[in-house]
Amino acid sequence: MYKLIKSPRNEINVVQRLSDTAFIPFDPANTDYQEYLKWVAAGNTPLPADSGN
Amino acid sequence: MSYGTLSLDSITTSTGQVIGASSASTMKNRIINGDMRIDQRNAGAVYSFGSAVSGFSLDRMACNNQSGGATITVQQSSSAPAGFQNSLAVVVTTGTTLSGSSYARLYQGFEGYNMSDLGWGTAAAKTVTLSFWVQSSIAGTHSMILQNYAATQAYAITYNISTANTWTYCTANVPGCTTGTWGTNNNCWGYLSINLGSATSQQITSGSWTTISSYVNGSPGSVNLAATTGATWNITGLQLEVGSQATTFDFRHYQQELALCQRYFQKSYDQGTAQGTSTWYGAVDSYLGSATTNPNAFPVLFRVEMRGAPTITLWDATGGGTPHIGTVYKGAYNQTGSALNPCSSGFVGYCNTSQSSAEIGFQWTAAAEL
Repeated sequence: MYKLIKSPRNEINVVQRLSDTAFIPFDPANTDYQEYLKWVAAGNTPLPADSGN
Repeated sequence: MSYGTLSLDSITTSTGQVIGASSASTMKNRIINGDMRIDQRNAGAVYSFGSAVSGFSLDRMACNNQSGGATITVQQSSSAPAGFQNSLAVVVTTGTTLSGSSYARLYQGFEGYNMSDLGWGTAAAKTVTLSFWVQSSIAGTHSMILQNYAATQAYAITYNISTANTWTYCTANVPGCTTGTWGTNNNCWGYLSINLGSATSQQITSGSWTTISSYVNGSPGSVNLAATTGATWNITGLQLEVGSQATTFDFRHYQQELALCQRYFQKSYDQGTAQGTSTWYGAVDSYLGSATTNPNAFPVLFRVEMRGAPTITLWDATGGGTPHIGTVYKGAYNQTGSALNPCSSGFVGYCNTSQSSAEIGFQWTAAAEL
């Protein structure tokens, strides 16, 4: 399971992997991001970002 | 007395090896941490890979255990042949029968920037030579695989350990692969996969390039280490170099080797301190004023440029072996935090807290592995 992370500028360029709390950048070269994309492609949806930060 | 200048394009050794051009460069060995000196994550502690567990042990050396039942530990060891100080030690604490599509492997991924001069995937592909020191409790024929990231081309290498528990020097030539796609930038070029056990469906015949449709892990008839409880295996002096002749191991300065590792993994902790250790040494640490404050941002610049934007883990500096989300106030108040804007040069640790007169900080690790 993953959760989107919003910055104070309301940008979302990181997703958190809840199993180990790691923060994964939206970088196509990042292997953890590649795994996240496969997870999404399998029909899963990350938890939304918190409304405030 | 004055001395003249000797200017040569190359030197041919008595064994026919030509030293020059690429083979005399500072990057003769394309393997990083081949002498198993660097262990940033675990600082020499045992790392256990249970069934269906993958991850990194020593720097640049990953383990993927899909054996369907075996438990494998990996640890930096002081057992090593003359001239080396360390090896990577594998112990099969629980063995299992390898069947179906099961396998267990160690592997190192190569970055395209460091391999593109080999010309693989073209008619000009260069031959490479693999060399290493190895010992195992199980004598016999073992195997490794060189395969591209696209999982379309693979070459199985076999090596023989004639006497159990005895350091043995092994070499193997691999002809350049003239087909397939091999990375040329900061993405993965391919993998050296060291077979610790594989079902027959995961194996290819050694000695020639084979077209594959998914990653493979071994060669028929080679030792399945993961099948034997108590089996041990060590490796060091692992080297992959251009040419058909194995040459002496390319010892690099410690700081140079560490920096090469840090392109793929780095940490706030001192070297020698494992991630998750209870310590403020190295932590990003700040003291908040008496006024109640809210957003706190902690810029972190990496020691060396990373391969790409890394995955960031924030760790509780007050201890605990498990990753902790965010920051800590003197061990009393756990605050929610996050890592924002990770990029190859750094990230921002961020905590929105209402604490005041507080010490706030965290340890971090960053991973941009292949």
